[in-house]
Amino acid sequence: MKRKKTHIDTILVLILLCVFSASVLMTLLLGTHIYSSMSDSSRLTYNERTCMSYIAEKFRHNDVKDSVYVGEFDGLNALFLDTEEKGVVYCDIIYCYDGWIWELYCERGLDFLRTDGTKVIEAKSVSFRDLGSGLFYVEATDLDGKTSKLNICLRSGG
Amino acid sequence: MRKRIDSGHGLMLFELLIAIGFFAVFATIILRLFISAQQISLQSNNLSRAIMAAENAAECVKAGTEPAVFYNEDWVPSEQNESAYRLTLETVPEEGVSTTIITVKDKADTEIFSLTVKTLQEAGA
Repeated sequence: MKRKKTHIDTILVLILLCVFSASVLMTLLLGTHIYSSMSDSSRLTYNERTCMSYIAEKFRHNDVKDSVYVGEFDGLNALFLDTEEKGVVYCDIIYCYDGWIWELYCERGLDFLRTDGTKVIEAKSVSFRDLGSGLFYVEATDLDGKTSKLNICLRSGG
Repeated sequence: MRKRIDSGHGLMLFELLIAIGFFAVFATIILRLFISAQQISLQSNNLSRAIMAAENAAECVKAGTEPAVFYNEDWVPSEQNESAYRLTLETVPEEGVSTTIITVKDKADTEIFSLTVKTLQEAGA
């Protein structure tokens, strides 16, 4: 009789131990899942906002009549931002190539290659469109395939 | 009686029950924290998207074009019947200045973000 009771006690303890272990594991897994989803969401928002903020600031910084335009650079859709310094016109070219947004600051009219620029932010693709009336449309896709859109209206009228 | 006290199993069972009790209490607190953290993260993401949508609409208002008003769950411009979020634009004409209040609302008509845009009106316009 005593032996039987000892067996039941042992089984009960083992069952409780199993329940405890399963609960700990479930809590840990749930925590990990929630943490990773929050971390992913935060990373996506950061990538998206940083990319768009950078481009928007570039527009705002160069908001001068006839100095912002969309064109082609080495076969790629690009944004051109002209500035004049000491009688020489320099051009800041922003484009997307090989999973990165690149920026090239050079004298206008000189020939450069797409690889001559500097890598700025990772992005799958970026397209610029001039919608007229000083309104520009930017569409960027990040490495996770998430697309974000930006409208920019220049005070100077473009 | 003496035999019961000396029993290792009884003591272990008691220890385990106490451990599970403590675990249950703290797990409840932690789970509530996890869930509220996830909700805050979701709200923050929605707010961030709503700000971008309102800013885009503001730029369209400044340019005098029609902005996208309906957005789906992923904040992609959509048709009205597929929309989860919508923008309302309320224009208040004043002398020389046109004020537009852009409000982003969700399906339950709860305001997520509001932005006021003032546009200078050209003389004679």
